[in-house]
Amino acid sequence: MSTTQEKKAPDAAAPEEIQSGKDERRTLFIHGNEACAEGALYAGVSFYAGYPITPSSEIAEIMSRRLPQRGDRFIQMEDEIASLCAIIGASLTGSKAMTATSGPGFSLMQEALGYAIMAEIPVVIVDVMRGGPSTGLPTQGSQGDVNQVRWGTHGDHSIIALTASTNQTLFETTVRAFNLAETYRTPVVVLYDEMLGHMRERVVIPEPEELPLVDRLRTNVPEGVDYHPYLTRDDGRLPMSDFGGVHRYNVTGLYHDMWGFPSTNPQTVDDLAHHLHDKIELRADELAFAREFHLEDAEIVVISYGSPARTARQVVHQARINGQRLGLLELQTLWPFPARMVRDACRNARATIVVEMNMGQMYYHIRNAVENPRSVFLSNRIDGRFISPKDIRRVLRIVEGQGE
Amino acid sequence: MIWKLVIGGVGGQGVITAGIILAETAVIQEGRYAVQSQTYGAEMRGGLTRTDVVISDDEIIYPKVDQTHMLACLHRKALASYHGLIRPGGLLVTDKDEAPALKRLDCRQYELPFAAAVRERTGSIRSTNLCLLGAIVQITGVVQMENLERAVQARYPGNADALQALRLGQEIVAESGFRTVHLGEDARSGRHATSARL
Repeated sequence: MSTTQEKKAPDAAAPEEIQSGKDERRTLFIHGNEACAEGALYAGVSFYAGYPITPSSEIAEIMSRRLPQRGDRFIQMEDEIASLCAIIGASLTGSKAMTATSGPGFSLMQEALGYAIMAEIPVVIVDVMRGGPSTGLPTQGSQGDVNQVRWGTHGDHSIIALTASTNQTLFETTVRAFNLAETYRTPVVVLYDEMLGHMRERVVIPEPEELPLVDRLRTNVPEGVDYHPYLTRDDGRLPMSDFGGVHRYNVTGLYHDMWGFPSTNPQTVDDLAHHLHDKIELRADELAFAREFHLEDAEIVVISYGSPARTARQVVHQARINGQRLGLLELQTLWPFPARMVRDACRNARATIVVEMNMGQMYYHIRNAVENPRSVFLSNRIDGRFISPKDIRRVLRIVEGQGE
Repeated sequence: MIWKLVIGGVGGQGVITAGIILAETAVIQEGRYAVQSQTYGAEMRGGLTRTDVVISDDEIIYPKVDQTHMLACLHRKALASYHGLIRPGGLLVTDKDEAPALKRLDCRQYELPFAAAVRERTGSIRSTNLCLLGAIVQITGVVQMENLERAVQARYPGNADALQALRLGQEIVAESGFRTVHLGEDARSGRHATSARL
């Protein structure tokens, strides 16, 4: 698969160059996993550790070739537990680090995920969802991990999870994931389904510097002067120091003080718990990325995310041609939950239809967010088949009182 | 204009590769939009496989094919499973020996000896998928033949069999006496593609 990608790259650049002179952008025809990998490379990933699993394996395959070519590191680990632990360590030493997996592997990562949240270590974890629970449906898509991402690891915590519905937006979303991980010193999950992972379409790779990249904020405390790894600046940010470099400090999964040493002091515990929660939840509006289609005068609002949002958009597109006032809110941020955005989008709607490929994992959050929960309906599919316009139209008819 | 095509077969026949090359031709060689997706089981070989290809001059929203302008099949199992996808009056392209056409289907049927011809020409059936691809493009005109050749050459540099198989597919269609249906001409004449009588 990645051999294809290798051969394609130089060839792919040619027609684009002819069309637009010295444009450095490359037009590629690639699947979602390739788009995600390209996005990570664009964002400057310099360390990948992982354990291949369908339907995410191509990401590891591409990284195993491309990272060593750039002088960076790829390690195939013995399992997913070790994979996440490895990238946490790599990130602490200064690398932009990532791993990719699917549901069964993501389950194994939960403990280390909590550690990365607690120790505030930026990492990017890609979860290409397949049908679950357990080994489930390896080659078929699902969106069954949405709530696992939110609450899979124990204890009160907060997390950022992003998704996309096209390979172009997946590329950009992956870049954004690295930026947010570095900005907020937190794990960011890129969540999409098998359908997108293995679907090929046109992706235009932006020129270098066309998309903003966030580099890690490093401390300017000089060598020999005390550096506090968990002392928050006025602006809420925590400058880092590459572990193993000039500063000595402690990192732990226990509640800790500004030195990183374990503490059970109630004030310290309370402050840290609130800090971990607030640094993400209080920015829910700022982090709420979405695409909107025909929402302005929509009587029925469809809310979807990931590849099912394409089916939803098709239904909205067709409905508009037929004169029906449908609109689509396509969520690109799942966590922190964009409650205000959802509430605003649905405020003037007669009904809201949530389209997802699970048993309503976002549906319940959307019900909680809107003013009239009874106006929210679910259109879903959980049999491994991709949701079709017909599936959504069936629910639409019921909502409109037109029967099945 | 939007073309929706489905190619079916069993794992190992190169059906998905054929779909990728076709869609890639539209995107990379012709600067158009295309989406290619597939469904397959956990098996590496022998399981039912299907690839959906949507090609358009505009952005493609819904990526799958629920009703196809053309179904091409290299295996009878695939034909049995997917023939219901053909839109009334659509096209069916099948391998004469591996997937004999179903005469009762309401569609224009091309039943041609792809595998046998490729074996005779190259000594192996490996390139049957490319032969089928040559035929599909000859029949439908969904992309330009020279662009398809360019895409195949880029993917298999220096592989003479690949190009030969592609041209063989063209020849087989030309020699069969079947009328070729250029979807593209329908489009240019202003008729809506999805309602074009094929």
